[in-house]
Amino acid sequence: MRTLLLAITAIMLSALPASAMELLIVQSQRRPVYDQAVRLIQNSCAASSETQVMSEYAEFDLGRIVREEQPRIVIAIGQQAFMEARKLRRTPVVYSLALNVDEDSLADNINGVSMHVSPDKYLKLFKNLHLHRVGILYNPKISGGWLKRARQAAADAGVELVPLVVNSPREVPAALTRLEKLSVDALWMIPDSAAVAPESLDAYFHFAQQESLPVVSFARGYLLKGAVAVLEGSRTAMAEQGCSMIRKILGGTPAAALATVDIYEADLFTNVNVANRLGLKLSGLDRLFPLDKE
Amino acid sequence: MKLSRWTTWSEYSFRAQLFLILTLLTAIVTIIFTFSLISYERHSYQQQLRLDGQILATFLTRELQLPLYAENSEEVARVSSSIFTYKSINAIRVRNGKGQIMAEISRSPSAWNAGALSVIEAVTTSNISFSPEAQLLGETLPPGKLIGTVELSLNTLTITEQMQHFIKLATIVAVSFWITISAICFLILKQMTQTISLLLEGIGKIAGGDLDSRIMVANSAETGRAAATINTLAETLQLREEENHRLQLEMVNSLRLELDEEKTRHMAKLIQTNRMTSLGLLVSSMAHEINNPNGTMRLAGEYLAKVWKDAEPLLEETARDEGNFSLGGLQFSQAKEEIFNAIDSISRSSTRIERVVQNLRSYSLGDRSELRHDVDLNRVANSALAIVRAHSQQSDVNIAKTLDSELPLICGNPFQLEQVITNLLLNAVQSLPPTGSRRVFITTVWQKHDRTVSLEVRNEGHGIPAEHLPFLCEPFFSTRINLGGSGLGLYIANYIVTGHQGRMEFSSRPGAGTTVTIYLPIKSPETSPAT
Repeated sequence: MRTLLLAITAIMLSALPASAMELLIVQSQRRPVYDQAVRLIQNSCAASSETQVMSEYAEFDLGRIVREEQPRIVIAIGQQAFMEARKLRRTPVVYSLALNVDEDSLADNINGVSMHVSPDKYLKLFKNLHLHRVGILYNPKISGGWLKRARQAAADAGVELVPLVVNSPREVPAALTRLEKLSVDALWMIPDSAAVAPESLDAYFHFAQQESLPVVSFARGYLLKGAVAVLEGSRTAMAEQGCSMIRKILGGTPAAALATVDIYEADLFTNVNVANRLGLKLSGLDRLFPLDKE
Repeated sequence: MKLSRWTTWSEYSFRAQLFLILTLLTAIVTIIFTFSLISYERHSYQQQLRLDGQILATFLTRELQLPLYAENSEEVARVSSSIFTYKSINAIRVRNGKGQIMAEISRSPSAWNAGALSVIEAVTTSNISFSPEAQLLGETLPPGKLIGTVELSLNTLTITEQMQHFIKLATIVAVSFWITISAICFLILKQMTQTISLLLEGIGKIAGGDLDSRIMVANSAETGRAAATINTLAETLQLREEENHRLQLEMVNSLRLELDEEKTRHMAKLIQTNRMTSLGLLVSSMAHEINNPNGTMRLAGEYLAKVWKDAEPLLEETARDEGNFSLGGLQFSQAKEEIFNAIDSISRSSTRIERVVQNLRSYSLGDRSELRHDVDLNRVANSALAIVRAHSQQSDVNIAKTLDSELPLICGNPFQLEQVITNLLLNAVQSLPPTGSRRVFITTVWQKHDRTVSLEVRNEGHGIPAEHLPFLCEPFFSTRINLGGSGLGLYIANYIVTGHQGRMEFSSRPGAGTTVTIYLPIKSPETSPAT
């Protein structure tokens, strides 16, 4: 907390002077996590801003608001806000907390912080756990861009990714059946709503249990389902990354020169019982992840 | 009918009543508990069956989640069939999210009838809290979407069979419990009321008169203390009974003795009365026998007087003429005096004999109810004195009389009054000591102030003890009963005096003699004296 306050203070001191109505924050709905993100951005960016909550309008017309308010940057918080903001063609957009984003189809004025933790972090984990062949289910329309980065990083790290495409959760069981024949060492769950859904979740873990495969996931809740380790992205870091991008745009950097970034800071959580059952040694992970927790 | 029933109930022994009450109470409690247990068990069986159904339905919903999501009817039917092997399930019906039946399996056509025990479980998509977005945003989201329902009709036949078995078992246990408790109650009551039975038996014996019986209850409880108290009462009663028996014997002996004495006294009185009657008859007879010769003697005396009266002048003349001659061994001058005295003595003696006989006849045969208005009490006193003097002629008793010459006449029965005075005088004479002063005083006085005449008889004898004074006028009271006293003298005297409207008073001091005074009014009595 103390660190967070210091970071926020430093960011505020370094913020550029902003003109009136520099930021238009569009929030999908009133949710605590969105409110928290808005507060972090407002505090970190030190720019004049106005917040609009979409769920409070019967018909939300972002284009009209942008024409009238002329903000320098539109910040979209949440999936619905991102879907609305991606319609803008000139005004720079920075999105956050949006899950299903096809990075390859984004216009140049749209950038943001994805909900993926940087693949490097995962690959470090896989290497440390001696998992060299990792299966992964994904939807190219959602996670195609991220998977490119992941493949690149995996190649650098010496880890082989075995990706299988699923277009909906209904395809997960069949994909897992196919994966059974591909002799993977681990199963990597990514925040892809087509690959990971409540109705397909059991299939993941039943398959992993059946094949004695470790599952590495992205949220703590899956530890309870049977995941052996989780790298959960830091929201503070996400806000800082978003603010950094905003400052760059406000500082004159063209939005087209920027790109969507992954969360560079993550917390590690592990399930020791599952690790013991699978014969995995979790020792030494604290060196890789200082905020390691069990 | 009710009364007779209660009477019959009340005739049961205390032990039987307690046993019946406890047995009935035990039976009632056992029945209540058994019914409660059966009811509870039936409810438990239903709950258990419902719980089993709920578990199976939950299991089935989880198994059917993906087939229903994919709307794979074959898989749904297969999964449902695998669950249907459980006997607790009577039928399974699976519907999709639109309500269309995806699979239906049933053991009987009536499985879905109204009243059948059933469980309905909704099939939803997995909890979307585990969706990537929810997990990443760290929020708990509402349950998943409804994709179908699973209905299980539960097989209640198993409950019925289980309940029948349980009811049999519960009935056997309840009856066994009731019999056991009743037997234990009987044994306890028998032990507890044994002392009461002994107590009642002992009380019965004591109440029946067996005071020697004792209650053998040795404990220190209430019955033991009651037995000890009753034993003490029995001992007390026994002592009282013996004391009463002894007192009765003493009383009977005393009464017998008193009866003997009374009989003796009565016999003595009867003998005395008989003797007096005989004496009266003897006196009457004697008077008759004496009167005849006495009349002859008196006539002879009168004749001798007449003869002497005629012969004396002739004998005087002869003596003058021929000188004093001898007559009967005496000179005529001496003899004529003696002859005159002799003739006079004959006349007086015959007269006296006649009077005594007349008095005796009057005493024994006179009209004793005669009421007269010219009774001279002095004369009556003299008559009584004559009788008493004749009776005590040979004794040395001196009877001094002081009769008031101005005594008025009274109304009464002279014979009865004479009897009174005679009795008083005889009592006074008989009460005198054999030696010393043997004097009796009789005095009559005219009491002008209350217009009565009094007659007092006083002796100088031993006197009468003070404790005897109240009983002097009681019949058959006498201190001389063994000496021929009847105990009726003063009783009769008082009766006669009271009949004459008079009264009789006694005054006596031990060693100073006794004074008896009778007071009689001079006016005519309103009622006739006693007959």
